[in-house]
Amino acid sequence: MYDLAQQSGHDLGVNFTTNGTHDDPRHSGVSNCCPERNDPNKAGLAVDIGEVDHHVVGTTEASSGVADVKQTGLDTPGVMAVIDPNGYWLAPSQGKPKQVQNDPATVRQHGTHMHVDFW
Amino acid sequence: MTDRRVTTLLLLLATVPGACKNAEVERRPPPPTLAFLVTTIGPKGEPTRKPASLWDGAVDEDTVVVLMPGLSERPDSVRILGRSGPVSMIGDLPNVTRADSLGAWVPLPDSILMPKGRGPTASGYVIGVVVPRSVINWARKAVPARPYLTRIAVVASWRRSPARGELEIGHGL
Repeated sequence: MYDLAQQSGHDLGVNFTTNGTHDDPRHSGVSNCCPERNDPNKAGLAVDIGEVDHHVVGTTEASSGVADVKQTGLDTPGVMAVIDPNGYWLAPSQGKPKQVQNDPATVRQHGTHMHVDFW
Repeated sequence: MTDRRVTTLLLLLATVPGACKNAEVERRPPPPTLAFLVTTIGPKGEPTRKPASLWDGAVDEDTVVVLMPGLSERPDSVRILGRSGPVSMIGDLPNVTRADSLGAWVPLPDSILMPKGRGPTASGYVIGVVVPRSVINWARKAVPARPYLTRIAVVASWRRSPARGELEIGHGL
């Protein structure tokens, strides 16, 4: 997360709710939708970024910063997935290039924050 | 003189039905609509409540208010439905689009729509509140073949005019 901020050159604001209830077990180790995917070893490997340079994600003011952070995430091998207001990218395995995912409903759920998964 | 009287009568005949029609249009109430008031928790924890078409479990408060904007009377009937589909994954995350496209609408128990706050308010008639997480849990148990809730719909009728509102459900990814 620190590297992502340094390499993208932007201040990142982590959402207050990033440790709340999520489907992705990489947030807290618990998957709300799919308990069979609970894995405490994954806790802390996902983050919701609500602000870039103190602008709320999804606003015009944040758009160029969000684009930079997204591109940095796509170029960073330690990042597994990026979801932002404009798309969804996931690496099939560690070190492989991230591929665009066709799941517009999930993208709609990220109109105001970025979701970043780390390996 | 005779000509003038005839002319006046004709004008009246032409005006009166039009006036009645206009009055009828003015009396007819606008069709009812439905809205969901969602409270979003901002990046620093500050809440903001506004009408929304999506509830996102990652950033929104648990309770959603169901409202008929501009209405001061109780609707004649209200039903609540849920759409849920099968879970298929993209990595560690469910494919929400696929779950929704393969999903089906099912009637939800009336108890899902809780009467808290029910009644007329400045912005319209509050039908009640829904807690999407409890609907998510209900679908998981009640519809095991399609356990992933993707949408909630409220269907109401007021003076024989129907209204339908849908809320996309984001579980919090």
